[in-house]
Amino acid sequence: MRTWAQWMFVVAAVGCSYRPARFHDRPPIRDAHDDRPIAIPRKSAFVEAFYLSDVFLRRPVVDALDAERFPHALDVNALDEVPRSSWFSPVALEVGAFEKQYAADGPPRGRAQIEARGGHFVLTDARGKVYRLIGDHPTLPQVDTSAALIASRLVRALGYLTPETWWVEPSALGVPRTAGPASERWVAVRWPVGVPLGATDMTYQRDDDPNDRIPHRDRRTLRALGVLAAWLDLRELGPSRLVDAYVGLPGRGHVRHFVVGLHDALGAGALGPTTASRSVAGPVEGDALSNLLSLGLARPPARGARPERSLRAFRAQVDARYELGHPYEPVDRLLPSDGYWLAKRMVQIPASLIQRVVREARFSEASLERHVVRALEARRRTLASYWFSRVTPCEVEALSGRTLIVVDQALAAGLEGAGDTRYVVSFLGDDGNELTPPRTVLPALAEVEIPIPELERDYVVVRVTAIRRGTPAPRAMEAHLKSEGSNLKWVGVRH
Amino acid sequence: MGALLVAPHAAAEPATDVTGVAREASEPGDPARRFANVLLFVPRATTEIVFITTGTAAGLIEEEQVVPRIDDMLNPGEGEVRIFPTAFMETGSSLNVGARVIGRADTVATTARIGYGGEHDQVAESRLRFAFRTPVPLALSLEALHDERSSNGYLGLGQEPETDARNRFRPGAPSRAASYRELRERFITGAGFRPAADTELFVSSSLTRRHLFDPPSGGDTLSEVFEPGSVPGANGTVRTVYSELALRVDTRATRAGPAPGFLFESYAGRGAGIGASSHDFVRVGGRVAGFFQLFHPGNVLSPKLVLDGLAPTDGPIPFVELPRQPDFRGFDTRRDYVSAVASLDYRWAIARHLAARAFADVATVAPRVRALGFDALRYDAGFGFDVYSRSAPLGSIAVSGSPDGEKLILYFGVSSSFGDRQHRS
Repeated sequence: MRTWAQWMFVVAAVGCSYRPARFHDRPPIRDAHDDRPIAIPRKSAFVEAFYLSDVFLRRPVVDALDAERFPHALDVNALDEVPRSSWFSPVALEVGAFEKQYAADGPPRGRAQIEARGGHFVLTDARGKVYRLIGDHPTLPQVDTSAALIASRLVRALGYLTPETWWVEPSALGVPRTAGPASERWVAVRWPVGVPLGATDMTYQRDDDPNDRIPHRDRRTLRALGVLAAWLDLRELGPSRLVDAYVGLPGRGHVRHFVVGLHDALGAGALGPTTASRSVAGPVEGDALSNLLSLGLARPPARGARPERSLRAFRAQVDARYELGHPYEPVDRLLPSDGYWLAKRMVQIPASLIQRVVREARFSEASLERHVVRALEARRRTLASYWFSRVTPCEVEALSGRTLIVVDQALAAGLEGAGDTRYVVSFLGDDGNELTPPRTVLPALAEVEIPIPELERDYVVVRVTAIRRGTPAPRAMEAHLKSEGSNLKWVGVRH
Repeated sequence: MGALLVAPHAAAEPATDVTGVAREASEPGDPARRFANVLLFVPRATTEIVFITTGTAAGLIEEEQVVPRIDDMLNPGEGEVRIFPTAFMETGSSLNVGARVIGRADTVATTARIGYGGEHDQVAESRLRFAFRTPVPLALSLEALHDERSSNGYLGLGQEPETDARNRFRPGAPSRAASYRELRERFITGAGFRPAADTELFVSSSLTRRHLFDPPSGGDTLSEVFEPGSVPGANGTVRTVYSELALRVDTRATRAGPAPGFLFESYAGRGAGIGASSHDFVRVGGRVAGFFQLFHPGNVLSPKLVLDGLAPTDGPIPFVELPRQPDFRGFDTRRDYVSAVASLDYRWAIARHLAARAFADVATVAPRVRALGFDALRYDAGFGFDVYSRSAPLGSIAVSGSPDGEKLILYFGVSSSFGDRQHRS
C-alpha cells in the first residue's frame, strides 16, 4: 500500500510542470497536398440507429473513461493556421474577388432539363452541369431559398467547401415552372459536384482514401464547425451536413469534403414543417430534468407553427456555447485555439461582403434584409468576443531584429479597448523553465512590441498573456523562436 | 459522368505531418492523466466491445422477420461478410464471449454466432433468411441452435411450489430449489408475411432436443431435491416437434419510442414428443396491450396482459416445455400449465430519443385457466430509461425490485420484438 502511495506521489509530482511544444526549424506547411489521385472510394453507409447509439450511448461512456487531454488540432501548421487542403480552401474576401472565386461553375446556363430523382428535382444545364433545385415551403416564403443563398456564400467565405448556390429563373433556362419545386422562387445548388460518397465520418479518416491521414475528430476544420453553426444558427452538423465527394475522373481524382444542406441555416431548419426534426414521440419540449421529475405531465405543449414565418426568426442574440441538436464529436473536442481560429476568420469577412451576400437573397422587404445583416453582425461579434476571450488573441506580425511585433486581434477588431489591456510577457526555454522574470508591456493601438533579450539558448518561447481589466486570459499565446547565431528565426505559434 | 470535374493533379505527396511539431507540449497533470488512462483501459475497452457486440449491429440480426427496413441495418453489401465479437452476461451466469458473422447476398442474409462462457456454457447458432418485398413483404428463415447452460433453476410447479402438492420434495432435501444443466439443440423453420401495414402473420415449425443433466458443480440437483421420477423430463432427453401459427396486429406508429396504439398477438401450436419422448400438447396464448396518450404525445400509459397456456393431450409433459414468464421483469422462476402476467407501464419522453419508464408487473401461474386467481400474486416494480432512434430501440437500462430481490436490466441494441414467437417459449 505504501509503495502504491509512493508511486502516486511520483506521478503527481512529475505532472506538475509545464513544458512547451518544440517546433521543427522548417517553413510552415501551406498546402496539405491531400489531392493526390486515388481510386474512387466506397460510399459510406449511414444507418441512423448506429449513429444515434454511437453519439448518445457509446461515446459519452467511452469519453468519460478517457482521461487524456484532447490533443491540439492535427491539421494546423506551425503558425497555428489551417493549410489549404481538401477540407479548407480560403478565398479572397474583397467583394469582387470573392464573387469571382465563388463562381467556379457559375449558375446554370443555356437550355436546361429538369427531372425528379431520389425525391429531388435535378436540373442539368446546357453544359451538362448538374444542380439540385430547392424551393420555399408554401407557408414559409423566402426562407429556405434565402438561407441557402446567404449561408452558402458565408460558409465559402470562411474557407470551407460548399456547393455553389444560384438563383434560377425557369424561363431563362427554357423550363416550365411546373417542372420544378412548387415555389415562387427556386435556387439551384451545384450538387453533386462529383461522385457522392456519403456522410463524412465524424471520428476517423476514410480507410480507403490514402490522402485522408488525420482523424477527423482532431481536425480544426471540423471542431470549429461548432462556432460556424452558432453564427449561422445551423442546428445540426453530422451526417446531414458534411459529405464527401470524389472529384475528378475515376482514378485521377480525389476526395473533397463539403458542407451541405445550408437551406436549414439562419434558423430556417427550426421554422418549418419541411425540415423540422422530431423524435418519434413528436417534438419534445422542456428540459430533460423537468420532464423526468414531472413524469412528462408539466411539459410545455408542443409548439405549433411559430408565429414568425420569415428569417426575422434569425435572432441577433446567440449563446456563445451554442448547443447542437445532436452531439458532434469534433465539436465536443473543440479547444479554445480552434474556436479562436474560426472567430478570427469570421471577423475578417468585411461588412461589405456580408451586406452584398444578404442582398443576393432578394428579400421583398428591405427591413428583412436589414434584420438579417444586423443579426449576422451581432452574432459574429458575440461569438468573436467570447472566443477571443478564451485565448490571448495575438498574431505575430513581424520579427524585426530582436523585436517581436504581435497584433492583438481583439483590439484590431474593436472588441476590446487598448486602455483596458496589458500583457505579461515571459521567456521560456524549451524545457519550460523561465529564463527571465516576466515583464509587462502595453499595446500601441493594436500592436505590441516585445524586445527579445539576449539569452544563451538556441530555442526560446515568448509567452504572452493578455490581461484585460485586471483579469488574465485563460491561455497564453506562444511565439517559438530559434536562434541562428545572433539572429532569431520565428518557427512556430500556439494559442 | 457529366457531373465529374477534372481535378488538378497534385504532384506532391500528402503532408504526413502538417503541424511542424517536433515534440508536443506537456501540461501539468499529463502524466497523472496517462496513468489514469492505463487504469481505465479495461473498462473503456470493455465498453467498446459491449457496445459493438450487443449493440445495434448484432442486436438487429435478431429482428429477422418481415421488416424490410432492417435491410438497411443488415447491409454488408453484396457478397460481403461482416464479423462482430459478441459478449453477454446473464444473472447467475459467467461472461460469455464469442463472435458473430453476418453475410448478405441479394435476398439472402445469413448469420452465425458462437459464444463461450465456460466448459458447460456455450452457444452456437446459425440463421439463414430469404426476404422478398413484393408482392407482399415476406421472409423465410431457417435456423439451427446449439447451446449449453450449466446453471438453470427449477422450483417445481405452481405459484407457491413449496406448498404445491404436485411437487414431491424429497424428505430432508437440502433445498427446495433445484438446479440443472441443459444442453439444447433446436432447428426452426419459419415464414412470415405482412398482409397489411399493421398485421403480420407467422408460421413456424421447430425440432428441439434437450438433454437435462445435473449441474457440473453438483449440489441441489433435481434428483436431490425432488423424488426420483416425479419431475418429467429430469435427467433425460426430451425431443419435441412443435408447429405454430401466430398473428400480430400492432397499430403503433413506431415500436421504438412512446407512441399510442394497440397491440394484439395470438398464437396456437401443437407439440409432440418424438423418439423416446411420448408427450403431446397444444400451446395457446396471446397478449393484448393498449398504449394510451396521457395529455402529451410523448406520454404513454400502457396496460398489458399476457396469457400463455399448455394443454397436455398425451403423456406427462416435460417440465422444460411448460410456460415460463419472460414478460415478468422480476425473477422468472415459476412454471405451470397456465401463466398470466399483467403489466402497467408508463413511458414518457424526456428528451429527443430518450424516454423514462416506470413499470409494475404482477404474475401468477396455475394448473388450469379457471384456477388462475389473485392469491399469492408475485409482483415487481421498476424504473428505467430507454434510448431509441426513429425506427428502432437502441438501448435500455432499468432496475426492478420484487420480494425476491433487485434486478438490473441492461441492454445495448435492439430487442427481438419481431423475432418469430417461438423464441419466447
